[in-house]
Amino acid sequence: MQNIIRLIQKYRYFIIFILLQFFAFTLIFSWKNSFQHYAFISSSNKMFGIVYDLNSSITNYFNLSYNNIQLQEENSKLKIKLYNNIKHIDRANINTQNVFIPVNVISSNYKFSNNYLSINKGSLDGIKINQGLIGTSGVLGIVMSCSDNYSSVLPIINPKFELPVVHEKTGSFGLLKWSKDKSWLFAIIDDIPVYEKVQKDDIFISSGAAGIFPKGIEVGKLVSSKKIPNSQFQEITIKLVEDYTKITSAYIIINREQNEYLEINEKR
Amino acid sequence: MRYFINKISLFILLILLQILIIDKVDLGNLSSYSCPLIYGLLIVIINPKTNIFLLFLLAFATGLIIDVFRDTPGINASSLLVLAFLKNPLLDLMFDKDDIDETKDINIYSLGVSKFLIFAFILLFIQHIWFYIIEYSSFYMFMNIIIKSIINSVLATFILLIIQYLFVNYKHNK
Repeated sequence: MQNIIRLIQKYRYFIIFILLQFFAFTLIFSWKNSFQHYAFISSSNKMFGIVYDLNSSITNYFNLSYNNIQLQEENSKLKIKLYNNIKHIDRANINTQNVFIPVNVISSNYKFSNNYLSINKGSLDGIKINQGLIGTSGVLGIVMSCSDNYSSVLPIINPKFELPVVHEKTGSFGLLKWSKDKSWLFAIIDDIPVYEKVQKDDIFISSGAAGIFPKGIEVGKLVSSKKIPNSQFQEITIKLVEDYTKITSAYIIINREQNEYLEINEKR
Repeated sequence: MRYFINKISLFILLILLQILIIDKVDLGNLSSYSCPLIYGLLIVIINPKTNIFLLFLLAFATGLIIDVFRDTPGINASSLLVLAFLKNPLLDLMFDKDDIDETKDINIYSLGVSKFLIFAFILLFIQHIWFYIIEYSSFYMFMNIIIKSIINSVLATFILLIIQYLFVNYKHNK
């Protein structure tokens, strides 16, 4: 017995080191193997969200002119849609399946191999896990965890992200992914068959499956495509429409029919 | 008392510097080669006589705070803990007992600039390589990992040198 105690005393620092490392690796593996990790160890934590919030309230001023141009462009697109398609707005007949909540992106990581975004609204504003986030020009990511006032978002540039997309011209389905050796400007699309003719600058849009994004939101433009050896599919590289280095204003999409979609999927 | 206030302010300064400035530096395609892990510099220079248990807890807490900000639970905590664990053995290995003034922090004037830089670089390099191996969780792009850790640990050592020249009093530590 005494020998054991002496042994523990001799190696006490090493034992503490091993214990703490064990704890750290528990966190790492539980995070790598699950979509939603501990809410208290993420930047949606209230105490740590405040730091990012304060920082973005200062640094936002440096991007003001760029953001104004972006918002103006978006406004002009919306006006074109408004005046071309809908002549008379009848309150009762507007399709209210998707509700858009404007949010600000207060922190954006893009240099690591696992990147995340933080936004300045949380469950008090009606935001829940698995809702989509779009920027001024296209898809940004999916909400992953939220506290009362902040949420963290899984962007396209994270290896865990997957989204069904559609090739706009031919309508064939593919799966959007990102891998660690890509930069934040590019992503990959799998599962498009070889016989579909794709060209440079073809647009890919969200498919509306999974009940997260409505159909038709732009994801990116084709840069290059190559056939995967020994299979009937091609691997397509696209350039994302959103630039993750300078996003500030974005919208959360609340899809009212998401539950319906999930129910149908469970019955399969 | 003054010693503790000094250390706590350096602690907060390093974390804010890491989160708000170093992580946001944008060099285009080279961005991932320009994010040195500098939050561990306090552990590198802290007094070698500090209670090891406290040192481990400090390292773990610092790493965990960075993890919360970056949404990567455990990676930074684990890598900084390795640095804290290897610090005193490396100090014993590289220097005689007489060279080190154990009442003060480690600094460039007591160890000499070149020896201090080599000491800091070895520690930071081990921390970086541990960090990148866990982050990639594979040896697939091993050359990439090595190059990234060398460049980033050189940058971190350089920042440590600047901090030393700015804040350490020459006369006091001669």
